Amino acid sequence: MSRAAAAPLIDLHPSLAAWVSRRFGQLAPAQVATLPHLLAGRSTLLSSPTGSGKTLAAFLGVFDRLARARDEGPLPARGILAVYISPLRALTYDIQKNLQGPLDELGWTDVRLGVRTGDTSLKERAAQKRHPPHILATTPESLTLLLSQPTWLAAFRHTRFFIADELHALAENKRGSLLMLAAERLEDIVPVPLIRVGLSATVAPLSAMAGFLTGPGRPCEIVEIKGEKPARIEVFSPLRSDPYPPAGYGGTRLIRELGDVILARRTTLIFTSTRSGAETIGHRLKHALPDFAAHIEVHHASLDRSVRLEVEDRLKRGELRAVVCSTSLEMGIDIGSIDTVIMVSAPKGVARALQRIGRSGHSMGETSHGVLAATNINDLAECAVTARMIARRELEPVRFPEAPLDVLAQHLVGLAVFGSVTPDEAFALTRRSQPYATLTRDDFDRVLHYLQGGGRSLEKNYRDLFGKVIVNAEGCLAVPAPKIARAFYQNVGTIASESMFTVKLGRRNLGQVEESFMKRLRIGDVFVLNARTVRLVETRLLTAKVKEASSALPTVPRWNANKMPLGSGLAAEVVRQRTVAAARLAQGADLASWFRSEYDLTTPNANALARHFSLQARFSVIPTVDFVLVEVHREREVVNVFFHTLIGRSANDALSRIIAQRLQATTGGNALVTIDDYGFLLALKPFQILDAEGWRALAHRNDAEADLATALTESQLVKSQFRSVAQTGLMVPRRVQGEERGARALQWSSEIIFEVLRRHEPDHPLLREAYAEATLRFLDTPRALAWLDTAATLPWRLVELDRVSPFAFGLYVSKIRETMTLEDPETTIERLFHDMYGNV
Amino acid sequence: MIVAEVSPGLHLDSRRALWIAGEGALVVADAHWGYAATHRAAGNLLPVWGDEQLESTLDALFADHAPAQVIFLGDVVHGRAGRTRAAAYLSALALPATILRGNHDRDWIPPGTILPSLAVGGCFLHHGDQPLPPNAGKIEIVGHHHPAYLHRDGAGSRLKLPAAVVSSRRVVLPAFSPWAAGTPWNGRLAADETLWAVASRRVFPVPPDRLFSSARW
Repeated sequence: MSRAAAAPLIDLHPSLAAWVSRRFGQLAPAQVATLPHLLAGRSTLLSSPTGSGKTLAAFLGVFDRLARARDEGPLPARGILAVYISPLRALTYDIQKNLQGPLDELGWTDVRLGVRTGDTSLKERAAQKRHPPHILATTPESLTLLLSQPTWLAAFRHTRFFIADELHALAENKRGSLLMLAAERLEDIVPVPLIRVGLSATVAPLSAMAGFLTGPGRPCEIVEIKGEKPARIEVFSPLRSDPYPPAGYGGTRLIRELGDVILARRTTLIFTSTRSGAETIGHRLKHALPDFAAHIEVHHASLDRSVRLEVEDRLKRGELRAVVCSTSLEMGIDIGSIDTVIMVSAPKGVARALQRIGRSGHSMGETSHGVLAATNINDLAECAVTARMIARRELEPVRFPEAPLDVLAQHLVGLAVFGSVTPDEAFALTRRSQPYATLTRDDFDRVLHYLQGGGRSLEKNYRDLFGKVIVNAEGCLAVPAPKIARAFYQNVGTIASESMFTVKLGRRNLGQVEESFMKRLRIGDVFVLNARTVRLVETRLLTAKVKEASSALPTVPRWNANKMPLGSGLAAEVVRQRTVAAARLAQGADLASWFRSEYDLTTPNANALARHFSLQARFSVIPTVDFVLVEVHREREVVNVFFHTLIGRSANDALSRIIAQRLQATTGGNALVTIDDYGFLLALKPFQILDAEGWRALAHRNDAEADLATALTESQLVKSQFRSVAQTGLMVPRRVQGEERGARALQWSSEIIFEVLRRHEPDHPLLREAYAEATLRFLDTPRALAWLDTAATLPWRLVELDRVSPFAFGLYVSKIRETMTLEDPETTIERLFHDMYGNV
Repeated sequence: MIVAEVSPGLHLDSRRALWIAGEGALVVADAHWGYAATHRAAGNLLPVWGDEQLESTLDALFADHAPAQVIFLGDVVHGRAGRTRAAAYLSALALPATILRGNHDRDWIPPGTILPSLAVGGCFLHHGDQPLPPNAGKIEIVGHHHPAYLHRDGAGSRLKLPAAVVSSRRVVLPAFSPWAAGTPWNGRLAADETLWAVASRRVFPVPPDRLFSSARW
């Protein structure tokens, strides 16, 4: 045993140190680095690869405290020592199993482990309340719920450890805001500052994640263990040397090549970008490899929990040859030994790709093996760039939501349940958490006013405003009636889920699909779920009955698409690739050999890329870092204008809105906008067309924020963001008891509430939150503005095309379109009326 | 005042009301008084808005048409919390009012007359939530469905306008409530029916070829 590994053991409780020596011989590097901090009571962020003993590193401190407590006397009455929070319910069960083993070996039968999630049974909940566990494994939502119940207060009184697992997965969304507010509530209850432990995948920068964990002004140690196991990364595309294969050809070959990999390995994990993609590939693989059909499964968040658990168990036991998943197996539970991870289509982010690849070779010292399988030619170019950046570990920086007001609304109702905190105290408590460090008193007061039932609009007409929060006679926040607290308990959380239909095959639940998908189906339509083809038999309120339709072809291809935007570092690399390729073409150099050597591609794939770039140069021009390319393609009554702006879909979404808004101000009319990671397309009427200088003039930096705000006033985007904000902010709770079944006659409409607020209370906190959500989180406005700055310094080239160029083709066929209503509806009506009846 | 004659003697006002000229009757469907208040009572903090809008529009309609009677075609109130205010407005009316019961008006005892259905001139009126035996030779006039016209032009325009569904047998009126979102009726028309779109400055029949967007999806 090395001295470094031995040192912390000396400080560990003797019984525990003996167990470690017996069990492992010595501590893993992550544990050696973390343990001294935890024993000294210092908060710590630990970033290390999966399989590096991360969980035990976090829990050794807890075990040490347990050992010392057991020396002092019996445990039962002490309440919760450690809270473990994970974004996944599955992980909480996993942790319970993983901790029970050591506890049994230590002979600590008096230590209670408890899991609390939305799935916990009523009976178990009651038992937990009577005898709180010493270690509680839970989710951000359930923790918030427990901390909002006065009867649970005593159990948390002496909590010492706050352990957040997969912190990177929480920090970038509002669940992280909810969690850090819960941490402050807990901090407020306990007499000694919490020891906060964050476990995170590799992120950049780690200091920001540490600040997120502890809140401003509190110290945090950072331990980073770099994965020493080498990663082998390959890129291939079933396109081989043909950049534009006939329809269906690439897909068929992809399945065949995936099949070859599966047969050559013991276990393969395949990631796709969408759930429906996972279904399609799983389904086709089963058909392509009939002998192994029973050993190929699908795993994604829409599948029924029992189906997912079964797949996870079989994977762990080594019974499966392949699992096709969307994002659901990216993190979390130990899935056993995986030989190869395949990503079908570019993963769009380096951190995400690293994490996926880290799922293979899942034990120290084994090599991870990752394959990027490009499905089309643009994808191949991007995969090539991604593989290089994975090898260099160039991660994109994390982005945290800042002071979301809808989560604040929930937090305040949760605090009000206790009737013991004044508004001033609540404000101070909230600001101690990192997400709300910049919260202004004005915003805080607005949210509070809203919760008190206020709304300035026409307030005087209503005597009874029915608020959720009052300030009581003692000056403390309180709830006006117990039913408010009950309704709040039902609505804790930020996951704005669309209504889901449960799909039933006989008596078995196959999984859930979105209501919006189900509404488009007709009886008899065939779709794929759980890698089975099923035919819709009937739909009832939120359930759909299906039957097997094994031989039928699916008539409905896709039912979900949540795509990630291309990271900024990746985008810059693709621009660089294009710039170098254009220069080499101009010099008459061999492009294929450059692709082959630069990106380590197969010869056929390098040839395909070279052909693709050459064709772009022939029919149009390759957009480079030196100029802005606009392509114009006329098509009957619509003109397609392609902007090659390589800044990722979220930024293109913002940029296209700014340009379309200014176009409307110049020429009138609306625009049909399509965006992707590589640019955007405006489908316009001929009267709206400008020349190169005209477009360039529209792309000025001045007032871009204001123009975006104007563009968003009528947009579906803010309205749809508002829908989830209104739910999280408790304006329209997701779950209401005794809700009338099928009462759709006048269903509430986020669109109309949105309109009313916009007209009468433009500064309503939930409306402001919807705009923030749209402009800062959904859209990447800063990146779009940075592009405007750059574009102003560059020449613009406009190319008229008689066919859509190779680089624009992806945009042209993309189905993700948003209609952008920019002009006054009255004007549109007049235009429409004139169109219909002007010549009559 | 913007009005279009959608069927002989039946005029659709751009404020989503029907004027039966020969009878001097103004018909308003699905007012849903107290929509916001009902939601707030259930714990949903909707903005306090709507009833005043509803009442001022009714006042303006009465001033412009000077009707001999007003008929509320069901769903006058949205829920319990709307009853007081609706009753106050109805009791203060200077003209005879008939309320036809809608599914939201269940158990409500409004001031004045409440009936399941009513025949006025050549028309047979009821809310429309229950199938009623057809009244021979009369045009059926119902509410309940909140029809709307959804317009897309394939180049960015998207509009949802309240609409009436009109044929020689039946008229389905748009909801009068300012909260009503409207159900797109583009694909639900029978062969003999016309969709009349109602915008603030226009009331117009939608040509059949405009019911479906020309955009490629």
